[in-house]
Amino acid sequence: MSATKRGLLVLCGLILFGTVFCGLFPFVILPNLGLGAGLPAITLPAEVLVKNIIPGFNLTNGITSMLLVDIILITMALAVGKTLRKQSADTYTPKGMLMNVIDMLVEFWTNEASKTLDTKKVSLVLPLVLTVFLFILTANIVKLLPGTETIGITACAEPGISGYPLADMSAPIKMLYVNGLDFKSRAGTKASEEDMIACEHSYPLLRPPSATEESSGIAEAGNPNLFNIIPFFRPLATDINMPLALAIIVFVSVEYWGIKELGGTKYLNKFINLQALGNLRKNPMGIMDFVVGIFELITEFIRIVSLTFRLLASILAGGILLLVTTYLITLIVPLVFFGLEIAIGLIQAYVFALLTIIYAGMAMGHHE
Amino acid sequence: MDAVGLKAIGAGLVMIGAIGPGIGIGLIGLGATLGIARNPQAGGAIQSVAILLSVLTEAISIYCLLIGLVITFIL
Repeated sequence: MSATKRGLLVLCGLILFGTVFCGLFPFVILPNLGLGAGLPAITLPAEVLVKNIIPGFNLTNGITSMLLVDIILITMALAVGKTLRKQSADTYTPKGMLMNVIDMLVEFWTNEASKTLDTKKVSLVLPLVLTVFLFILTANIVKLLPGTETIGITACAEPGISGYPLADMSAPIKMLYVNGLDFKSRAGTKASEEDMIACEHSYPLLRPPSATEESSGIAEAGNPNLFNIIPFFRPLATDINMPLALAIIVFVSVEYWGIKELGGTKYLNKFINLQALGNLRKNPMGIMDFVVGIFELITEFIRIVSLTFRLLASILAGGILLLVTTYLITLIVPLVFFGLEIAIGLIQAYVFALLTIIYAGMAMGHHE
Repeated sequence: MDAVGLKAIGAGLVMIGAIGPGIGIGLIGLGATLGIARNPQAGGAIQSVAILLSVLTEAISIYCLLIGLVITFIL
């Protein structure tokens, strides 16, 4: 068989594969077997799980994710500390998987930091760098565990978000009924205001926690009410508070180290260059030094924005990509994107920590 | 000319901003390959610099994506 004929066969095979796996499989075959995938409800702010758990404070699913990551990291730190205290510093050799991994990480980051800083500054900077790296890395790995954005509490679908009727109203663990071709059940239709009011009217316990207390309106008879899931856990870096908090901590630490190393007035002179202004008669081009200093001051603050949004948008885009590919082809193909997500999580953690080292080096460096 | 339609057009147009980082990362690749071709011994150092700069440049295109997401889901 000639090459063109083989190519034609491959092309027909690809078209058939696309039709079956992207068209029939997720929309016809799997829902009829009861295994459909619902369209994700993508929200940027973290969704509220329990309203007013302490008065004035809502428990959101960002907080539960952060507590999970914290528990993992603190357990790891306690285990490492206990092992280290039993051995003396001179004869220390790492044994076991956890100690070897921690040893490898610390050695890697010490070498990275030694490329731009000297040893005294390395031991000053290294705790923050390793904390940032491990925190972001753990958060990005926890996001890939099964159940992260799929298990949650049922709530009435808010307007504009696709809702699904419940498969079995009285079961303690409810599953959504996802057959999009069963038009009477209205699975997958976008909920409107009347739907939410009718659902809250019928099921006041399943009101989404962000709804107000009064709900007025008519209950629609005959139409099944639409629900959606508010997940228990959520990728931690998609909640804007986490990258913002890390970026502000890095900013404050870098400024503090700069001021401690150079002294307050000399550090401030890097940005508001009073000596260049004073020497204008002797050196009129000093006005450029002053303007560059002002720009460096602005750059210091823009760093918070860029650090936050780099991490936030990468993880958010990756999370949406995973949810949408799971919606399109539910089996096997999203595995490729899981690999991409692991790589992106690792790279974003590496870049955040490396930028911390670079900013600290720049702040502590003496102007020549 | 309703709001949903205009929001969709806006969210689509915002990704034109991803042209810049595309060209930028291509230029980083050009510099990296030419550098390694001239001096294969510096391959390791050039590689780490290239990866770091690619991630920093890619962040700009991700800012555009973030604006698109904000327009679609929040506004």
